[in-house]
Amino acid sequence: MKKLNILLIVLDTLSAKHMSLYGYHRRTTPFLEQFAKECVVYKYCFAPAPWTSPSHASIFTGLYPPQHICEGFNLFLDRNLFSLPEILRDFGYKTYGCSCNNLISKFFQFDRGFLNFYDIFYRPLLREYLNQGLNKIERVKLLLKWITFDFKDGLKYLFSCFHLTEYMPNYNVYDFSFLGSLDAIRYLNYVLKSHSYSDTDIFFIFLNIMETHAAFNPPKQYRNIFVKDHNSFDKELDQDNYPLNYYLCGYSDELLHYLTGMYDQEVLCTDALLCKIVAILKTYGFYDNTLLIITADHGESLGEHNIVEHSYCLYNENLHVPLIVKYPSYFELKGLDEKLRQNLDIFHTICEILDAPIPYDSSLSLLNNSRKIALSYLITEPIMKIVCLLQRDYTFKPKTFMQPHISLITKDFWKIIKRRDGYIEIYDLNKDLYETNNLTNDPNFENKKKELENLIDKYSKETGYDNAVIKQEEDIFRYFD
Amino acid sequence: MDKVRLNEWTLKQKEMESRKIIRKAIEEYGKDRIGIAWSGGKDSTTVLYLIKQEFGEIPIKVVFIDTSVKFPEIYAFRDRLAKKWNLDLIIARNDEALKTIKIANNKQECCYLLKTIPLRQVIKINGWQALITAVRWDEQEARKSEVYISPRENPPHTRIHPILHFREIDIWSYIRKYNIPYCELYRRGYRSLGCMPCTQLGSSYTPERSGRDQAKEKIMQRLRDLGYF
Repeated sequence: MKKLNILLIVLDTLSAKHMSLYGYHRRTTPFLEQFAKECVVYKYCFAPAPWTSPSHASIFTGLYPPQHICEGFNLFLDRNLFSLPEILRDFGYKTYGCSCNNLISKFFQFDRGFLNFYDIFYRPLLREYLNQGLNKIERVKLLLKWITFDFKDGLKYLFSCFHLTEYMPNYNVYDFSFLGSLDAIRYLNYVLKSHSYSDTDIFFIFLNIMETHAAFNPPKQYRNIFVKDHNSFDKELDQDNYPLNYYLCGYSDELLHYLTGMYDQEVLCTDALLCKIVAILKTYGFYDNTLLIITADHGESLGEHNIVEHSYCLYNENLHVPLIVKYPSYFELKGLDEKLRQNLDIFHTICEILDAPIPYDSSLSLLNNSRKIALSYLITEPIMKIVCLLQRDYTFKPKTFMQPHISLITKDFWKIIKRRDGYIEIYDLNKDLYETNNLTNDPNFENKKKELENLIDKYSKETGYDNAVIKQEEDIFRYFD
Repeated sequence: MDKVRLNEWTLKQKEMESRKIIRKAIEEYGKDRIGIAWSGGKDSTTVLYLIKQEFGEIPIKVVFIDTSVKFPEIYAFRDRLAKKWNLDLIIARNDEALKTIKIANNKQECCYLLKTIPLRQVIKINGWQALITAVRWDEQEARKSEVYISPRENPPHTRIHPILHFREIDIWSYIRKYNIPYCELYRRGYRSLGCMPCTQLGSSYTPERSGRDQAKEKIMQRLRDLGYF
């Protein structure tokens, strides 16, 4: 078994629907369309949850949300679960992680198994890096090392120490995610450079990049492409107002159109970031021997089904995520894969490539075609968000769809969504990938409906969804007493 | 802890060494004066299988410490395997303590009453001079300095630790190599299987009462920063 490097990039909140690679009408991913010729593009990959913590935990553990229970207020990656970086570490990999999302962080135990983990949500990478120094002398040494690596950046910091310039004051990646994305790339550059000096070391690098996560605030060169800049709309879509104001007072058609345009511009920016990342891999000679996995934890709704953001539903705007894998050349794998996949399949795929003997349950390798169903769960998010809305406006009446959901997609692409209150929706994804035509009441599909209902009840029980909902409801009331 | 044994030995070398230690111990103490502690978990099942490989069967008594709150899947697995491998199984339980104790309330006290006491009694009653357990060096910090043969007090006996040099990944490699049965909970991602109250997923970060509010505030702040509240 040949040893190979692994680079896993999770693009936070990137919806496959808005990628031209996946058929979107705006040209949002020109680089990926070219790059895809070297890769396997998995056309039908669905996330197991529509928000960050459970979806990342699923990728790291190969389990479904009710199984790993990283949901609701239990945002921690439980220590009694195998984590992908730990397995890789046991196989001799040097493991590195860099996250721009503060939920995927040391605090929530996602750093388990990493030799080195930076969560750069609140501060520039260099500040994180220097904090490793236990005293002033060590910090100076680290700064000198950084200057030899990134001269301009290090010098800026040095000047700021003498109050000659400002070195990016503590920034919040949420407001301007591009700064965080640049730091993630800088981190990748640094790790690859150090590895380029070794013939024998193998690396696993994980990056979470928040470019496509709200607030949608692309840098100048990615503005005024799909929509014209509009200052007052920007204010309405900032951290304080999006998405809660949509549910409290609604958005005009113009605002929704602007929202979509800004999101698409962030997708375009992300495409450019990926171009840069691939170039760096090539620069250090790792392009051919690295397994490069590009995926997302979930997507984003932008008004479809009268929903925005990613907390309230299991529609495919939120669940349909990209999965693009560049395999090393000796795998001889390229082209379009149209089988049913989930992003947590990455776990078993890596275990299979390494021949790791870890038992698995819910994750199924991408290297074979055994997935019969894809499951997704929305357990606590709607309840948490209802509380936010009530805090803003105590007269707010929660909408009917703001409750837990479970969804199941069969391998012939029929989908059923079941709400906690028993309400069912059925879609034929072959004709209707983004669920505009609910076939529940169509008599032609009565048998199909029964078959799907039986399946979803079976898996609700088997995977512990029912128990998880009850437990989360108890937890929430404890938090919001 | 011997780093060469732990990190550089092959699985075959590790197996052979463990079997050697087991054979020596059972021959030295005799079949009636030695027992093995089995929890139904992957490590102690591995030790049982190593004994089976070495002797063709399991010729010594097996003690299962029952705190009454193990996972139902573990109880089912225990009964299934005991039958299949024809185990001479002793189930040790502190019925007295179970009448009055509040389980997991005070963890140290709970483990002491429900595990340590019944195990001591089994060793005494059966007149064992040695006990085989499935401790590994890489399990936790406290195990790093453990040795293969270790004398204990109260009652005086010798502990035999034949799989110290097995890493977690070696256990799984061994299980897969010989197709050894294991509890289904491992397929659901669990890495270790203690008693249910203390092993439930989602409880790994349960701060002590004094730290609970602080932790909650930290979590809320993180969610706020991402625009949740």
